[in-house]
Amino acid sequence: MFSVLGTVATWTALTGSGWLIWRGVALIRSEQDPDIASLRTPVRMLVGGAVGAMVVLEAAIFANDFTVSYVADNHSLFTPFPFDVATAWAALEGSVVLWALVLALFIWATHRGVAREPDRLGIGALVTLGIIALFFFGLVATVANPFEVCVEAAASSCAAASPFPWATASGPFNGAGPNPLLQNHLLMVVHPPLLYVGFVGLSVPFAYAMSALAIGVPGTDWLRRSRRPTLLAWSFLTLGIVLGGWWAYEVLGWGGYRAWDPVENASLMPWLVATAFLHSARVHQRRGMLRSWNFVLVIAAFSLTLLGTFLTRSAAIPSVHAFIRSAIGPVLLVFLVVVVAGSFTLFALRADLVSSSPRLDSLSSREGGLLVNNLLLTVFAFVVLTGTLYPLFLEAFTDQTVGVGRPFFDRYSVPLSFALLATMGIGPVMPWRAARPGLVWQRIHGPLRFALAVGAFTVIVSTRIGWVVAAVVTGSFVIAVGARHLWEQAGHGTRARGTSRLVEARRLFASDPGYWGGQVSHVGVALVAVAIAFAANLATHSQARMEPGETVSFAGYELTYLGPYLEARPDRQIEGVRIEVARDGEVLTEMTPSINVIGGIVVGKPAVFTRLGEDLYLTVESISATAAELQMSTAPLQWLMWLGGLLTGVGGFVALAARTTRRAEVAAHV
Amino acid sequence: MSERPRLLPALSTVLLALFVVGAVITAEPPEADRARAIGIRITCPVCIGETIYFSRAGIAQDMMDLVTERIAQGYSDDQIIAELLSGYPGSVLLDPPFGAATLLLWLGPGVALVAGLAAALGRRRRPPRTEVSSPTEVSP
Repeated sequence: MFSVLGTVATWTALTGSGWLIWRGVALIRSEQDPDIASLRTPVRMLVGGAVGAMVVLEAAIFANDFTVSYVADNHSLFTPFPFDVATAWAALEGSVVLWALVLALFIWATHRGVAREPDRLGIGALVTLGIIALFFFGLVATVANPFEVCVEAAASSCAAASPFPWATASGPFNGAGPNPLLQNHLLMVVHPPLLYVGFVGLSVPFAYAMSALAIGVPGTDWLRRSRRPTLLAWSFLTLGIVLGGWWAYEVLGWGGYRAWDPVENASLMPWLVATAFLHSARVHQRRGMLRSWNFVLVIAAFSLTLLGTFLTRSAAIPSVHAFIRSAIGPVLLVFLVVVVAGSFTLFALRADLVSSSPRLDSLSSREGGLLVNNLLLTVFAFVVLTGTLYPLFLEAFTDQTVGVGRPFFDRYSVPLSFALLATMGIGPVMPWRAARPGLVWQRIHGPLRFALAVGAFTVIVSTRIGWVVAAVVTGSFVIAVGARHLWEQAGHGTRARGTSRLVEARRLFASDPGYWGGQVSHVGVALVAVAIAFAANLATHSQARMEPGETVSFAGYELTYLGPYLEARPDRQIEGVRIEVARDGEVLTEMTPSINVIGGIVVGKPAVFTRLGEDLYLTVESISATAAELQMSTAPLQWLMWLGGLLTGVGGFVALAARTTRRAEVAAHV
Repeated sequence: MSERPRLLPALSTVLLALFVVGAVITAEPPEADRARAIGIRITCPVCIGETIYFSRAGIAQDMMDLVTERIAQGYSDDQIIAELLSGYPGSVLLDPPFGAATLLLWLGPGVALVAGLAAALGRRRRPPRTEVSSPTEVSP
């Protein structure tokens, strides 16, 4: 039954997509004022079908219907809540359904916006989104169909499946369940949806850009209308990346949060380019510059999300993220090539629309700073792209194998990041057009002294390692410049109106949410940079073989092995050790790193003890009757990384929320 | 408020900077963890995308043991890496050496940066030959 319902939902959405494209094109070509009402039904079909497909998939999982091929392959009777919910997107086919669902929701939101401004630009954007939806629902209907009927059962999966829902079903009694790594931490339930909102949301600015080019709408309208979806996508992408790193730290057991794994890179690249776009869009709107550059960035960001989808689903590269090899890889690659070639061709044909931007007065100005920021961010993205794809291309064309990993990326990303931080500190307080050196100095000399003082403090109490001190100084500089600027700007209002600085600060946030939300994100990025420098230079690591009752010293802690424990649950068996943690004779806590056996697969579960200065991080390697082998690490200021990362994302939401508040305020005043 | 740098703030900034830079320069170099430095550059042959330093696979730990042993015997980093790569087929050096095959990889980003910088500077308005009044400033 679920196969029938799922197939119907998929084809409803597919039909809706086709209908949306057809009606939209007809509206754009007609001479009269476009009548947006005729798009309502196709959009409803598209969204309804997408929601329906996800609901049916979840229902099949909760009903334990193992005749549905996806359920047979990825669910088990013992998968606990909420991992059973997340099973719906834990494997390839389901992840495409989630992707299509998020896309459908963005189409719904875009359609609501177009209903307010029923013009050709908006309809063109809907048509572009419809084409992307047609592709993704097409995948769900064919090569990534989760609703196939299992016609031949294997022991705990499906051996053969039929795409025809009326085929005679024969499913296994129970499945193996989702990948054990994905069942080990709650973060894995939220990380993928957040990331998908980020990835898919970047199709909206792409759609507006394509619409502006194809229909020939000059000006900044496409930027204005895609700003909110871009901000939303960027904020979610940021949170998704941060939570992904957090998950890796909490689950993978090597004490790190990021390994320059190709698929981690796949999410970093669109983030870098989208960040560049958020900044350069401002330059275009304010000064009319970087017109063509904005189109390039938007096309690049969208193409990079497709590249990321391709990399994760094609088994082209070895990675912890890679889904199994499947027919979807080549299809995605073809779509990627079509998108890149098609959009750049359109861009080239419309060169007249995007040319003749005004020139830069001086590099030492706000737009000059934003230009440098864009250059650094895109070169950063380029480094990540080259490093990720180089091994693939080299092997394809020359038969030589090279590996490209952290040492390579570090060599470029470290200087680029410092340059970015410096730009982040000075750029936001430079006036537009041209900055007098005196004014810039006045705005930064106090923060600079503060940052150096923090650096001096770090040198005295913590470390004299150059990279760490440099990160602390530049990071504090960014934060102090932003804080000083807010204080000073709020002070103007305080003197003029006699209100408190807090009231004035809120007024500032509401009057230019993009700018001040951006400053919040800058503070977050600065904190992350400091945390990365500490983690990269001051983490310690050791291992020990301990017998019950034995105590070892590590990084100032005394760790006592109290004994092993065993816990059997329906879905997993947990073998762990109890470790008492003491410092200076005082018992701080008890930690229980463990080894989980889920569906016959061994997954480590590290234990993390967070303190203000550092995390203590324990992983157990092996447990025998007589002894346990333990890996011990300290991760300095690890919490600062999560805090900074979340703050970075929150900055995006501030920019979004403040706008809404202002609209509400305006409405209240009218 | 004066916009010209005044002596006292400028001087204290310079002194603070000198102190921080001096402290960093005179710091003893951190004890080089050569085993770790080598271990994070080589992937483990049986695991997916993990380095031998972080991997918990048995073979990765054997390789790390070999690294420690060779360091104690006074081998150079390059010798140890060469031995690991030939002795454990399937392991890959993550820090590709500069050479013909990796020319684009190493030079590409630099070329992109220089090209971008040139393009950005090329977009600048030609400065007028005679000194006219400076462009108006717009505060944010």
